[in-house]
Amino acid sequence: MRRFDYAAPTQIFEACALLADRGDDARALAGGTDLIVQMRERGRKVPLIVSLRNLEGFKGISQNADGALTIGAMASGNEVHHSPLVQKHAYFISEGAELLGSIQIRNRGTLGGNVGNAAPSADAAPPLVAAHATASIVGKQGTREVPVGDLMVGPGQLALEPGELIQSFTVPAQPAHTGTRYVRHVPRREMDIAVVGIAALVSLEDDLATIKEASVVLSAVAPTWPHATTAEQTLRGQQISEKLLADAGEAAAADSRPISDVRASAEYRRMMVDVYTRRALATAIERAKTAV
Amino acid sequence: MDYPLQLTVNGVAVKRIVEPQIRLLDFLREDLGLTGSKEGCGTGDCGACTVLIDDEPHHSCLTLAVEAEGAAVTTVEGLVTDDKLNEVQSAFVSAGATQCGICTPGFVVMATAYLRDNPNPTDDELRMGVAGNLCRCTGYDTIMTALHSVIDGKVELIEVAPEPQELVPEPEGEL
Amino acid sequence: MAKVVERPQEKTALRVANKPVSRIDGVENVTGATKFGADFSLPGMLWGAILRSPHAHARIRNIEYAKALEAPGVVTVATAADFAEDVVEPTSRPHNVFAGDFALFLGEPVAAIAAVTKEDAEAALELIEVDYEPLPHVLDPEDAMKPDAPAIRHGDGGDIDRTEMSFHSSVASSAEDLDESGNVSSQVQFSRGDIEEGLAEADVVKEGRFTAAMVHQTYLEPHAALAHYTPSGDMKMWVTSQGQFYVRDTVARLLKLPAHKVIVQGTAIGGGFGGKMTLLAPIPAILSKKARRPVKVVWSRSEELVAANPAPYSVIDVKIGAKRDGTLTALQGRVIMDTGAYPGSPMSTATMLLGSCYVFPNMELEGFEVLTNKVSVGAYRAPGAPNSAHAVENVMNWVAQALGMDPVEFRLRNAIKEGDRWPNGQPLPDVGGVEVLEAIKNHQVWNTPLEQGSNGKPRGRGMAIGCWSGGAGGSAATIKLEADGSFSVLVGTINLTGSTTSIAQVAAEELRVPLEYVSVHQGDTNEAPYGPVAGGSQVTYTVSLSAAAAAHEVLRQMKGIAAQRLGADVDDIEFDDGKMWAQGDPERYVTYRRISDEAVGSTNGPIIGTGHGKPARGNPGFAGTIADVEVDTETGLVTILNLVGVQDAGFAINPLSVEGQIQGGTIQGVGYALLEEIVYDEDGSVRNPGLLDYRLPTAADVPNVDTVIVEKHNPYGWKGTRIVGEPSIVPPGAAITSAISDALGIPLHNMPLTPERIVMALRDARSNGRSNGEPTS
Ligand SMILES: Cc1cc2nc3c(=O)[nH]c(=O)nc-3n(C[C@H](O)[C@H](O)[C@H](O)COP(=O)(O)OP(=O)(O)OC[C@H]3O[C@@H](n4cnc5c(N)ncnc54)[C@H](O)[C@@H]3O)c2cc1C
Ligand code: FES
Ligand code: FES
Repeated sequence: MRRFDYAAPTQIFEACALLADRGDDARALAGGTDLIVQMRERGRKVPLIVSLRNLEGFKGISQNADGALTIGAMASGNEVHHSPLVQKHAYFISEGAELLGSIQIRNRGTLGGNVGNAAPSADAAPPLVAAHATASIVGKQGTREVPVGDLMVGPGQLALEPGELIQSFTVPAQPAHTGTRYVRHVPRREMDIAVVGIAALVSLEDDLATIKEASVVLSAVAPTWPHATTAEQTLRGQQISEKLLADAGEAAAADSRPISDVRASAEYRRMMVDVYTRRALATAIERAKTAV
Repeated sequence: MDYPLQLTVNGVAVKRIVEPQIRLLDFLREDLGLTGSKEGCGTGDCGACTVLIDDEPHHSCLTLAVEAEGAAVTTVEGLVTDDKLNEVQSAFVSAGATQCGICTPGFVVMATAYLRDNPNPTDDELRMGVAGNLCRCTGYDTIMTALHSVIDGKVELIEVAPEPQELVPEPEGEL
Repeated sequence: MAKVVERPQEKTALRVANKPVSRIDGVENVTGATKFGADFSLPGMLWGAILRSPHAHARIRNIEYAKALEAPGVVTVATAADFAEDVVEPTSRPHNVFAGDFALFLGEPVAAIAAVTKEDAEAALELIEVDYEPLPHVLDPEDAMKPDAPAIRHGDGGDIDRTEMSFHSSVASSAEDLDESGNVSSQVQFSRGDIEEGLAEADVVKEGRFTAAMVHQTYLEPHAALAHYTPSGDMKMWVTSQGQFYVRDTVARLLKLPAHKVIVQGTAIGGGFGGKMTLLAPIPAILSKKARRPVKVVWSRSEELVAANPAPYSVIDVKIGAKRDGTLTALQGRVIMDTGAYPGSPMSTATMLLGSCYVFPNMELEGFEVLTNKVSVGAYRAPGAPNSAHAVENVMNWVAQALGMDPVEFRLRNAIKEGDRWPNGQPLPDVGGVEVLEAIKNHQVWNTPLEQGSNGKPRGRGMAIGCWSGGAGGSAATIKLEADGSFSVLVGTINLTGSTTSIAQVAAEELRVPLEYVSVHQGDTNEAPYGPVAGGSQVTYTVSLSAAAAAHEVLRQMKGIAAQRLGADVDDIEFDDGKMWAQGDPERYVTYRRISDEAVGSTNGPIIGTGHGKPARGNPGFAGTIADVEVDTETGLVTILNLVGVQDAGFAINPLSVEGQIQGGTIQGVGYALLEEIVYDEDGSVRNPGLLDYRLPTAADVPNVDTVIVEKHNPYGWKGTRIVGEPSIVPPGAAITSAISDALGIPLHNMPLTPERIVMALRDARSNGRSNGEPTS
């Protein structure tokens, strides 16, 4: 790896100032499971690394008075995966986090890093988008809240100003009868990058047979983590049926904008969006029925 | 730029000056001479570099040494206590779970942590738990046998460098 | 645990051989004490880094490295200009350390730097200015065979270096090397009878065109080597390689040093599987010679995946005909093997192996080795054989199905036996093909009908067999009797597969002492007697014979001493358990310890014996696989439900180690069948140069392998031993793909069968109106 400078400030403003001053020459380091790999294998040059490890207020998972959940950006994949709070609140965030690499990766890799890396194939970010989570962004100017869904603008690109950091994510409380599911397609069972990922959130009417609200977010089949909006419309207010799920799957496939790469062709990806949307919805609905 | 680094490695306090691009793996292998941790990929894909940082398994190839400031690091060399291999190590030896042996240190460290946290996994959970550790030689069969013997509490701890027994007892009746 | 199919001979007299022994070096491995290639360092050591061609094909007009030499920490730079012209062999990859006038594949080494730190060396690579003139490149062998294809190589002629292939197979290659015919570097033909008649006679004919991807051996330890050119002119090296003598000879030749001045210590090796020979070692050697300091080079995983020597991509056509009663009548086959930028692929072996398991009265086989601008290929465990078996065994299953015959019965009817001939005309010694088939036939999995799953996912079963000739090189071993009656064995072969343990077992067995009395040491190239490359499954096969011979020599000397002391005739001396006595009088004995004492003062001197030789011939090893799978037809994901690996080991010196070899080879076969593939971009770069996208099976992707060891005595091996390492990888790819084909009811032709390939094949079959039909082609 190339030589670089390193700082591990304890104050947020210090971290933001360092990053803002050096602009493109500086990069925040969380777990490093993306960044170190890019610097080592893909020759990415980062003259200054600003470690987030000593910052206060980036860690931990807690429930707020209004029922929303706050997850620190530095929460590790394993923390998020195993958190009873997360599992109770929005199970698919735990499911997405569980898929990051292996246990070793999940001990280092963070939720903030998964969003921060802005890979279309991310597994932990799409459930945040589907759950309408917001990110607390800190910078020299102070703090702002941004929907996670608006954060990613393209592969590797976030809508952040130089010197801005994600401090935490806030996941709003979900209505009654809500179920979630994150599922992805990969050739191996662990240690793989999503060929297609589907984050589904479904809220049912009290009859448990009608879909009140549905959120379907796609991974690895578009430059960002988009909602499959046609699929969502197809579902809203409808009676649950196999046909409905099949229609939603087809709609999601049409909503996707996949590319061909070493992992799969665009054509196959589109087929898998169909299959996995159906499957994700079916599980989310089952979970919604038993949710309190 | 050089950074002062303080940590403990296998229970011993270590103080060194390092450059920030030095990975924990390089630091252990080259600065401390602890070559038990291996580099199979350098990108988090094989698990051969697995060490415990504050008791949790991490890839030392994806960890900058400076990021381990203040941590307690345990490498494969630190798993032996009271001159005995730990359960997982002993089970690996007994089951013949090492062929070339390059994956073994990382595998042993990972499995030790996994079975500590999950003493009773199913075979499938166990396989998922260690899926971050690749082995090209064994096909995982004997490794699974070894780990199941740990789960079943059937491991006899093996002594490291036991006192050699006398080979040919001075016989009676010899000419 | 392995089920061993017992030979009828009694084995009760055996002391340690044929008993499962866990590896002697196990404790060293689990404590991290074993020292592998990258674990060696020396004071004052420099680090090397390699500059690689960014073009798949280019003329190198000029290399300018003055700026690199001025960079911080840099001590020296090496290029092709540092090797004398007469040692460079343009058609031999190992003897072409750096690209000369032409870079022939993307990733080919162009220069190397030695610097004080790794970072310094890597950073300085950018300062080397290479003036490339990009040339048209070809990546697909079938494109390369077209008459108007650009030439891959540049009129360099020369003999093709087939050294590495010869390690693996003792079968003579009859390939013709072609200089003149474009990008086809060699061609082979085997024929017997009349193919047209054979096909005409057949009641059923099935055929298919099969592809097998380029796959990487993926030993988990990347190449690493440390070289120290000392002031006295010795080149001392610590290298992870399957053959320390091969490294020595290559470095000596390239650097024009006397062989005895190149002292190579083969380190513990983190896997090789045929792929770790001598690609790297000359680079630290030349850097050290120039820098006069120790230099270490360790490859990254991406260097491995881009620029080592993987196993070849191939396209194989097979057509098989049989009569209604199940008798085979004809085999027609054509192999196109992509050898990459240098010749030396296992093309002719792969072609011949098409006809190696069954008796085909009529056959016509041809093979083409084709150059492309990709990394040159090397050996990978039974090189070429999985590709062949994939094609032949799938078609055999289709024929059996069309005949309505059980695929095992069909094979038994036609299985090759002692005295039958391989396509090259070589008559076979007593091989274990029939026994392997019988073991499959009797296996509980084979006799339990496959239940359909409750989830509606189709399931299928496949079986296949395969064989491998194996190497049979010369080797030697030395044994010393130590002062306390224990023994030390010195060998020059690399302990790749636990062979050290097996050799200790052989010595202990012959010397009649417990295993703990024997230690085996692998000496460096100056200390140790010559040993063959640990490839071709030959180490245990050949070294067991020389170790036994050395033991006999040691025993001969010991008996002389004992006879004197006992006042008996040498021929009457018997021995066991560290004692010798005269026949009929075991109460009066001398211990080995006493003999050792006595010998030093006697005219015999200390007791030491060397054994050397070469097995009279190789003897192929057969293996078979049963695979049960379940397929998710929507996603193409395959779950392997059962995997049975059967292999004829002749005589399993260490059944635990044989079992480990079967399991490891079988799971590598899973990689071939389902996951592994090096994928090239149009520009000739590898699109998956890391282990996240080059997918090895993880523990979660595979089941246990149910192993069966068959022991069909091999008259040429120690107590009947046969080659063991390689055959297990041959049939699994064929069996698994065949099982998937069986589940889906459609023919499938590619390895690996990725989920996408399966889904697309199903879709194509549906649109052709043929799903769940009979697999035909
Ligand atoms: C073997 C392996 C397997 C993997 N498998 C998966 C997988 O299955 N699914 C998946 O989604 N990913 C996977 N990854 C990628 C990676 O582990 C995850 O994306 C992880 O969540 C990244 O977190 P990190 O803390 O390590 O990020 P880092 O590498 O530290 O950072 C990543 C990027 O985010 C930026 N960043 C980090 N934190 C913040 C912050 N708080 N605010 C703003 N920017 C920030 C950094 O500057 C950097 O650009 C895998 C990686 C490896 C090596
Ligand atoms: S070397 Fe760290 S995971 Fe492979
Ligand atoms: S024993 Fe060789 S990689 Fe596991």
